[in-house]
Amino acid sequence: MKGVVLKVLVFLTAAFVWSSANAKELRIGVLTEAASIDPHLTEIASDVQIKKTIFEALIHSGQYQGLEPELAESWRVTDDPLVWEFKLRKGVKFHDGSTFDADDVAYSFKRAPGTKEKPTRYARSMKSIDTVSVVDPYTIHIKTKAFDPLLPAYLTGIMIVSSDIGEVEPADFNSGKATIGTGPYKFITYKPGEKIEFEAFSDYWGKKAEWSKVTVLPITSNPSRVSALLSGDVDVINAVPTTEMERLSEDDNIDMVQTESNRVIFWVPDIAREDTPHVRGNDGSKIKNPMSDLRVRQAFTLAIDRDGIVDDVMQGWAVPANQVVPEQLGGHNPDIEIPDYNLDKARKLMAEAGYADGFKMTIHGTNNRYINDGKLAQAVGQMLARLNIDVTVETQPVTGYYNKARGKEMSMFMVGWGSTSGEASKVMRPALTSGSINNYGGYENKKFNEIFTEASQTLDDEKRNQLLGEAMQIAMKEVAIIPTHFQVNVWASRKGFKVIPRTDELTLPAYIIGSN
Amino acid sequence: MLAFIIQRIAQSIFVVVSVSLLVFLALYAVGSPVDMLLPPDADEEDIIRYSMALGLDKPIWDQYFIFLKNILKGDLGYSFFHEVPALGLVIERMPATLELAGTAIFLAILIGVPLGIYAGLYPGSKMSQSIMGISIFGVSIPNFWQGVMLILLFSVSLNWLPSTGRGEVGHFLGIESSVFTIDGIKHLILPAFNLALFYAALLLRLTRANVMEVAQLDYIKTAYAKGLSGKRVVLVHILKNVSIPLVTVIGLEFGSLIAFSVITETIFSWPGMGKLIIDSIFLLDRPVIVSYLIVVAVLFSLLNLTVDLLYSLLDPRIRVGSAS
Repeated sequence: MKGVVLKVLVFLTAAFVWSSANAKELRIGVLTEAASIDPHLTEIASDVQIKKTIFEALIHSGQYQGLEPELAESWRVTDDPLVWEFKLRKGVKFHDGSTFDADDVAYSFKRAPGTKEKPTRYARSMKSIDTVSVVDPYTIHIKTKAFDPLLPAYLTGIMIVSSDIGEVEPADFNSGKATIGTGPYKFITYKPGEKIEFEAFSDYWGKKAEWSKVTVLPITSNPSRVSALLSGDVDVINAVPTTEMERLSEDDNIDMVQTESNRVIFWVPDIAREDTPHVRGNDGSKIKNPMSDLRVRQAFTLAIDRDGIVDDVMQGWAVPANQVVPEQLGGHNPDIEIPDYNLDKARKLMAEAGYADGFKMTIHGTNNRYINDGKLAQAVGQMLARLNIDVTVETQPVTGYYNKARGKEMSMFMVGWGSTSGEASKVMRPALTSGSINNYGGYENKKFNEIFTEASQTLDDEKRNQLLGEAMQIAMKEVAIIPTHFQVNVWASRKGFKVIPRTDELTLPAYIIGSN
Repeated sequence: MLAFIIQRIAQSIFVVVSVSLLVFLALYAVGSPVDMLLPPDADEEDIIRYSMALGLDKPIWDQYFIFLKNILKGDLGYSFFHEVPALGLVIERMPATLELAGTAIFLAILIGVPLGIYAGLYPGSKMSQSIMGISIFGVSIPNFWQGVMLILLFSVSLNWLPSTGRGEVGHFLGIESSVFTIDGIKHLILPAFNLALFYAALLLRLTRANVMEVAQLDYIKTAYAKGLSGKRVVLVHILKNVSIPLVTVIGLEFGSLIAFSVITETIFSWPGMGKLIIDSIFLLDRPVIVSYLIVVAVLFSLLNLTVDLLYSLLDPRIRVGSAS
């Protein structure tokens, strides 16, 4: 009898402790809704943050996008430089109780890129992979088509699903049928436009989930997202609008955290072409493209007041830039200086180039894609007008914008790209190397190409990043692009919730901790 | 009667076909959705491969005929962006929008019609004048601003009602709706009210004008002279005669409530069709846009049919289908 009473007591105490320890709920209001729960569908941050809650990759991308072991405990290049070996973590359970092993990895790598006839949007970042072979249940060999030192960085995006799910469609992930991962949270439900719910996975191999239940609510409208936080309908919000920051920072119940984003905002001048569509002489006649003259580009970069942009357009929530990655990321070169705003010098350069009286120009920007992008375009337009240039500013939604960029329909325009790989080549390769269709300005420099190619063949991270920095310096000396700032990612939370800010804009429940 | 309904259906089909053609051409002019789907650093090969997978490499006419062929099989295609059946996406969101628009129109009638009758019967009274004064705000305040103010007042300051999202849904007679749970109603009040205010003011002003007009007519005077109670005169003689323009406007309004609920849906994060369609337009997600238009065309046709049938109920002189 005594034994029974004791058992009941122990049980009750355990139940009490269990329930009070697990009664922690987290509600996150996010700007953009996930398009799908399918982990192999898109690579946009709003989707990735949902997938990374349920699923895991071989390698984890940390707070500042450093590589950390996740489902792979270690990795190395074998004697054959094309073959990488990954040692997998043992004792990892899927949400359905099955055990994780190399077959799951092989299956996921087969599913993620789709087929040749029906490629997925993931096919792009897996292009360098040739074959994936299972050596033993906890060893995988990945063979690349060419030597690819950045393979580990790209593997952080490829989520591992259970091989038991078989042939499945995106809809099967939305319904939960196939949504079986190894991550800290289990999927409960996805109601499009409304919410996604998760619960803690008790058998998680790593650090125990902090929250018993997590709800992610899409709240697109900026004032509504802030109001939801203030009224307590959500605990954390991402993408805090710059207009509300002052009000929120004065509120004692609200904490704000921030970090530089991997997203750089830059302007692309048309360099290579003789004729550029949106430049005319002051009398309306056709003139030679002035931006092919280095002095004009130098004048532009000197006339753009980066501190002014940060203070006035971004209300202080941005960091001036003159290269493509902030200091936390690989390939940042501390020797590249941010030019001081110097209108006199800029005007002198314009005069030397023969444009003392300026010309007519239309510049383009988006107005719904980047933080305060429409205002930024207006500000840059005004700054260029100080060089006697008759500037017209045209802004448009991002829809169709990159079509225009690739079609070379613009002369000087705004672009915002994130280095999701955590290092500079992600932006440098498409934007600055010869032959890339996304090198919109047509920048070409032999030395740059040489150093960049050498960098992309260098395995040693430090050495590679140094080379990338060197190449970047060459491009910036020639003002190949005109970066203005790095965006700053800002989260706001209610008392009791602390967000660990990430450079890649992701809002992950595992990066939100309770605080009292 | 049957001929009338068939004629209506034929009209709707014509509308759907011509609108879908317009959508095809317009979206084609804006650009390729592939550029929205692939990250900005995608190279030429990616773009070509992905365009082929979606069938976007074919000439626009071929794409349109393939679409027409599939639609006859009842297949509206997969969303480019979400990669799930497009019609399903729209249908899934429809109950939330109908529920919001239905509640809003109910609120608008509940507020607008009685106040309008009062203001029409006693146009000179202080009360009527203040009702009319307030209704000016109703029609002139921008919906967006009004929504944010409602949230600031009732959610942030007073903390009475939730600011965002749809509440718990309940089941009743096989219908799934959030009006069947307390939590659901709490979530519904603010967005429905926000959507209803403009239409309440509009109905109020319309009702007042009609009541004033009808109240002047001889047969109303006769009715009073015969000693009928005021209640009977108002409810039977006046209301019945002002109800025809009211039903027309309410029917049209219900349609525009569905179409224009997008602002309210965005402010209150209401998971309806409006938000879906706006997002899809920005993403150039053609299958979803076309599916939405088809669903809305069907809804509007049904609505118009209902209004026409109601006419003949309200006024025996009108016979559906007899003359046009």
